[in-house]
Amino acid sequence: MRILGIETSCDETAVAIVSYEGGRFTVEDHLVASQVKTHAKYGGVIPEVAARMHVPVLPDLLSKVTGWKGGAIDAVAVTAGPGLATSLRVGIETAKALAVTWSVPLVPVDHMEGHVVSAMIGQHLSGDCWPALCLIVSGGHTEWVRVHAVCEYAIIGETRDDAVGEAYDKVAALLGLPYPGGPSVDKTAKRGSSSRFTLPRPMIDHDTLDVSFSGLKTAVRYLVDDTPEENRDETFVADVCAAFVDAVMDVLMAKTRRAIEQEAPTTVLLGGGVAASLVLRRRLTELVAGHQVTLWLPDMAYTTDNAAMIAAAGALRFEHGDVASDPFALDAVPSHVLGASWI
Amino acid sequence: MSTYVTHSVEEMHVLAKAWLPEMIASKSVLLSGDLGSGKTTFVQGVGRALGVKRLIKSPTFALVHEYRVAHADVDVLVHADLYRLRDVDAATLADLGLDEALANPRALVCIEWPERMTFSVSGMTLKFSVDGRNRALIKS
Repeated sequence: MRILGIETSCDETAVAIVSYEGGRFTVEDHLVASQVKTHAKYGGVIPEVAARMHVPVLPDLLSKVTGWKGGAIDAVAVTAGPGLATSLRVGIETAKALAVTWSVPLVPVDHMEGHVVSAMIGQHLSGDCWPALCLIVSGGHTEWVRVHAVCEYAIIGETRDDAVGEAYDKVAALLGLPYPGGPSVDKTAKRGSSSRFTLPRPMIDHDTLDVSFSGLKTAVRYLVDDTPEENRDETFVADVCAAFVDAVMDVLMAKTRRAIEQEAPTTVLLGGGVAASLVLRRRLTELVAGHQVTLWLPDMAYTTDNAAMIAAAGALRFEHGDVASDPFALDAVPSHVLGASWI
Repeated sequence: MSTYVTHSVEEMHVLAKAWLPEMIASKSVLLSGDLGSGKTTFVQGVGRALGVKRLIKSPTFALVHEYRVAHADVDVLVHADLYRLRDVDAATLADLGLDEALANPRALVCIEWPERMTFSVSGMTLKFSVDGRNRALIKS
């Protein structure tokens, strides 16, 4: 089958055409227009601006990938949540119009499900791949997801407060590093020594797959507060970053190891914006080397928000029979939970 | 206006519980203070006092989280965080569903980073600050 994917949940406008045959995805086209620079100028996201910026960009991208011809498209997939309501609606209303015009099914897709599926692009899916374990790490999510089979998900561990991406952003803000915090903290950490400061590893020995990163952020705050301003030089910042990255990775790896031992998955997947972190990719590669599992890391292009993952997740949902029974009834679900129904 | 100093998460949760009737009467709580000063920890205490079983996670990314509550005076706890936003006007507040929440007499609305708004809303105001390892709360 051949499917069009549309993603407008936050500050990226993206479209993609993906085909899915014999357990393999082929990304035929995938375009992303980012608004990050616009919002960085304001120092934060303005929801109204985000929604308004999707409006002229989306038709432009769609025209490029479809030429407005739906003849060879079997379905339209769209992110219906979670995300900013006004931004989601730009994608949803456009997807409805195309699905109805082309008389093809509309497939609502959960944004986080897209991140889970992002690591499946480039792989050969078969019954032998499951059960799988997916670690999702992004600005708003830090979750361990059991994938029983295609389209069957269960969250088995999660953060109790801050997501990893959020902790990175806030630590960057505390240290005066630029937004987004992920790349700037990782880059600065490379110049530092992780042994000068010891930061806590919250819940690392806790008998669950849950984690907590709020206390780690507070510990960084204390380090900054306890250090006289004249001593907060580049080396200090780099050493704090190195200690922070070490603490985050130790916690993520300890819990992933626990999850692998508990779930005995065949495959381990990584997804979400923080999946672009080279440290995380290296640590996870080292971790699975000691276990009988196959690791699927997402292509770097599919770690940030994109529509290829939405089209791919939509293709799996389409084959599973999960299409919108009434396209007109579909509305944005800003706080949608992975696996929940849409209407 | 009074200042309270808390030495632990538990002490902060005791305050949240003690102030619950006053918060319910005010309908909304505006929580100001720097990163790591205890705003979300306080709201976790509010959730606990209201009997919320689900985890009260940071709403920074999602902007708004809602929790159903079984309480004599409250049906829903709304936890918003405007940290990532700028110039939040009435239209944005409406987009986030906060205008409805603020108008709902059976909703308790907690808003972190209210200074991101271009206008003011009424409610109990709490200013958080870090004092060594303790947290100071100024209530007015």
